[in-house]
Amino acid sequence: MKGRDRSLIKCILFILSVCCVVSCSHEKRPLVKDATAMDTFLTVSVYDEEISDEQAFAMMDSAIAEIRRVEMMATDYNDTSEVGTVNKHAGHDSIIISSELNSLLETALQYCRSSDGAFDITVEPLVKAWDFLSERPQTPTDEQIQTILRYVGYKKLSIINRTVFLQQPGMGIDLGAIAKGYAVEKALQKLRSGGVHKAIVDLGGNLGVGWRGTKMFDSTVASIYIRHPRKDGQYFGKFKVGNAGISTSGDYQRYFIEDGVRYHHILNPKTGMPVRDLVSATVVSSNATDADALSTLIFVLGRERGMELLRRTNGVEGLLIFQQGDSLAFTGTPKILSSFSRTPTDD
Amino acid sequence: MFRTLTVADKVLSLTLLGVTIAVFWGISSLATPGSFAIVMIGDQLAYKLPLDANKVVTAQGRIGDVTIEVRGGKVGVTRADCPNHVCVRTGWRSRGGEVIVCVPNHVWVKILSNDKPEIKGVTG
Repeated sequence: MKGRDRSLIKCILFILSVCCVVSCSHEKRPLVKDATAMDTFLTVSVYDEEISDEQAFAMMDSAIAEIRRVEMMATDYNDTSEVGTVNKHAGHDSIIISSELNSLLETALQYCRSSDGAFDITVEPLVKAWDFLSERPQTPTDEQIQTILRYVGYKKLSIINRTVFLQQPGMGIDLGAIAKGYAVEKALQKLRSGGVHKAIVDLGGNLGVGWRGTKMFDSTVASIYIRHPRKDGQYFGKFKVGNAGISTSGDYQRYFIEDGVRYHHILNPKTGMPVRDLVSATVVSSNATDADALSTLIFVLGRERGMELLRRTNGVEGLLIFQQGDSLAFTGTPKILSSFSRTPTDD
Repeated sequence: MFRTLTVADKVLSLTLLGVTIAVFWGISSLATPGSFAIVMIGDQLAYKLPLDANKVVTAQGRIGDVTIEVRGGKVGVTRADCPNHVCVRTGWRSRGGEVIVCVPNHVWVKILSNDKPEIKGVTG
């Protein structure tokens, strides 16, 4: 056989094997599972090619179950959850809680203390009064808000030896500003422990990217798109991450318009009113729990104090969108800005 | 062991190569989802709606009906028996991977597209 003929055969075999690999791998990854949990949409995507489909699907089920387990612990919509039980007994009984909830509450309380109450997990009565999820949400009266504010304040929540007590009847814990991020983090841990090292967990825009061997910002891994706050179905921009937790708090996620004024769900725990400064705050952190809590906290703090907090917090980056005249503008920390690119829109 | 390849052998080899590549492309494009929206009720597939054909369907959710409409290459929930109508307010979606969900009804709509899959997430 002539060398030229051998080369032709080798070439054909090579092209065939490339075809096979490309078409097979293209079909198989990512493997995706969708579900609903914590009142929102959940997607788990696995990109590892080193593990079998069966193992990947089993681990995705396990991650979804983990998120539902966290929901059952942390939701305040259910009297039988741990948080629901604490709320039901507010002002009357101390409740012994699991070490896991104890640890999550301690993490949340650190944010409450360090922010002097700008982040406050006892806003449950306020959230209930505004009821953004009802059919016709409406603004509570000033008098109602002032009354409700008497039941808000993290200093009236005590935790000693895994025993929680809310000092007044009518008080309540709402972990809505941290629980989704925590659930994402736990799901990523579950995936890692099962040998999945390239995955994305998306719980209603609270994202966890678990990508072994990558840094928080890695241009070779995942593109994170920020939803456009004022343009339905469009993106404001995108940036690249590796191993990271990402969360955005915005005035467009749950809101209603009354007399031409936008009332949104991120409330100032001290005034009881929606915070007016930023349009959205996106935070990237090494873990999703912190990203979730910090996006809410920074939104409440506003542009100047939010940027200050970002600058002095190690390992955390943020991008803040705000209204400037008729259009939207943005600012942020250097690392995220260097990776960020605007999506062309007309604002 | 091998004879020298004749011109006919070479033509045959190249033809086989072409056919094989075409078959792989075919299989690949068949396996890749087209631009359509799937409507799920819980874990059950209720509808598969190509985005290039206007259509209105109703999914019977846990607490009531959810009306899903395809119009002008986009899909949206236009009416829903649910307390907060987050699904309706989500508006119209057209990009692969985007989702509209009616949590109280356990109904969700997800767009699958022909685009080359990008590793991505959406926040906000």
